[in-house]
Amino acid sequence: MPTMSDYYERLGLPRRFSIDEAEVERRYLAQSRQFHPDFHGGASDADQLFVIEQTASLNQAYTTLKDPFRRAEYLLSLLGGPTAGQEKSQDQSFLMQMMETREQMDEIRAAGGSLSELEADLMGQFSVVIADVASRFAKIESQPTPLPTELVDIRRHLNAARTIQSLLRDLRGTPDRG
Amino acid sequence: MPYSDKILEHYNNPRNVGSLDVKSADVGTGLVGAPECGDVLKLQIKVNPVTGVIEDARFKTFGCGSAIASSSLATEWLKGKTVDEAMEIKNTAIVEELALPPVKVHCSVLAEDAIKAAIKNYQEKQDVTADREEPATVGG
Repeated sequence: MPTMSDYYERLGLPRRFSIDEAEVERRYLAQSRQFHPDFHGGASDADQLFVIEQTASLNQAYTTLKDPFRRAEYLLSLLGGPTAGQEKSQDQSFLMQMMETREQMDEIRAAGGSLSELEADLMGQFSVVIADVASRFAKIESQPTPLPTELVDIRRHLNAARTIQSLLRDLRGTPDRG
Repeated sequence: MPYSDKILEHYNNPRNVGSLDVKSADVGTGLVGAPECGDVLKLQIKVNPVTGVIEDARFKTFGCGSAIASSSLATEWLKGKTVDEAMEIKNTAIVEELALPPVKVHCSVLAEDAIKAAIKNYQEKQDVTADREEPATVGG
């Protein structure tokens, strides 16, 4: 098995954005059984190391492809699209709206109110962005080569998705990563 | 990686948090996002139109401690500088002053981007005002 195979090849799936997530799950489970340490207990050190490496790369492929946002990020990088550091621009009205949502969140918190409505609203916005990303990938996949502008466009959508995610993380009170 | 005392100091006592009037002709607003981490920063400057000196600066951010500290420091540095001097503020100076860890350098970039965006917004407002006062010469 080539060490540098991409995650799609790793799980034997076609390289596209819209994939059957249940199929990702099935393929992951089938392969992970094969590498389960219980079946390799008596193996040599080298074999055990191989199993550990395979399990790690399999887990990575699975966690990346089962999640639409991570999958989109990964697929964009495979297509040679810009990273978040290279293409930072975001829509001004979107950023303003995120700023306002954040202020609203602080006000509701200060008043001891419920954030569930705001959370549902943000999750809805996130789904809309991801659906938009899905249709853009579908368009790219129907043509021979993606145009740079199309990749930049997907990057901007993913930037927005990440900003919404960050707000959701804050809303749910998940500890800051850094 | 532990944060420096300076980061913590700005984080615990952020300077110049708040908003200026977006619509005012003397106020430039920069709104930027750091998509790597989802932070958003609004930075505003109030410029004296006669002297070109930045008299006030405010920020609002939702972001991590380093984003807050970088913006807080940036607003402190902006006050009293001319617009031209403000253009010279580099994110590397913020990194150095706060001893930001490498994974947080993008927070200082966000602050620099916001400064530039705020200045650009202020200058655009001045151009619009100037255009109204003295109509542009044809072909000029």
